[in-house]
Amino acid sequence: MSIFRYAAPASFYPLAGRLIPWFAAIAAASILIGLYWGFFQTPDQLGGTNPQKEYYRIIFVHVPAAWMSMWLYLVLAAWSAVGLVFNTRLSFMMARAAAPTGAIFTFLALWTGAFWGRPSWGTYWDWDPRLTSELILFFLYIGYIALHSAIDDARRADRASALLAIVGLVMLPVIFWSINCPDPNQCAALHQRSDLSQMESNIFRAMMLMTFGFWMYSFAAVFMRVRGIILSREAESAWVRALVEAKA
Amino acid sequence: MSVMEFLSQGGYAYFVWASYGAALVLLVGEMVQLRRTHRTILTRLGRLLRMRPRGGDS
Repeated sequence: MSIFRYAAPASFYPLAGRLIPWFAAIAAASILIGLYWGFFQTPDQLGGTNPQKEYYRIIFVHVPAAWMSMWLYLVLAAWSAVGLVFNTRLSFMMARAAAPTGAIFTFLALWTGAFWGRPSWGTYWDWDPRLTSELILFFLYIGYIALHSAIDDARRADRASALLAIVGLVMLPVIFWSINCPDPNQCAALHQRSDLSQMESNIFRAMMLMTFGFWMYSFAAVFMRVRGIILSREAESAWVRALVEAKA
Repeated sequence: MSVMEFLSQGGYAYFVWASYGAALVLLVGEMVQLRRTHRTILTRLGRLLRMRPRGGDS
């Protein structure tokens, strides 16, 4: 008996159901501790010569959301690739289930970025490379979801949208390296190269707790969504009928 | 630190709470929506099942 047994939707469905409460509980705990640490155990300023005031605390939701937006896209594209190569049903379902949560985190990264940008850069929005490429990532998520739901035949929808997801991968390195200004002394860039090891340790700790919390939240959300997808798409199978009958 | 001091975030309350508010609404909203969708799917499948003859394949 190997873990590949869980590649079958029928055996993954109950496994995911058992795991969801754990992921949700761990997510809630780390987010709560992360928020407490971020608001009460950190200095009121960030940075040296021209410090950011209290509004820098947006970092604890902005950076984790931005990281998750890229990570979930990688997950989406990876499951799409696995699905195309091995033609496994569950892989496509996982890809489809990851997309809305990824889109939410991308929107959150853009939204919190706007509210951080206003007090620190003096503008809610600018066509800066990183902001623009993150916006394109948001449209890729929306495009993936729209394409998938535009095609009636589920298998064709899976394959077409998987291809779009893989082509869209090109945006991830663009976002990652789209930093305007390599040397902050040379120009006033929006996003600048930052060194995590230079960060005040309590700020870093809170940010990492929030990131871990968002990651665990993603597991819970994606598993909840994939269970719905499995039920809808396996509706004709004997095990779903038995399950629905038992619930009724 | 008083509650008012905490809420004012050094005068940047609007920016800080607009960010955290959106995060709260979106994440809690997604969870609520997912639970509701799951229940809807189960009810719908149950209704479909009852419309069919028992044990039959069609």
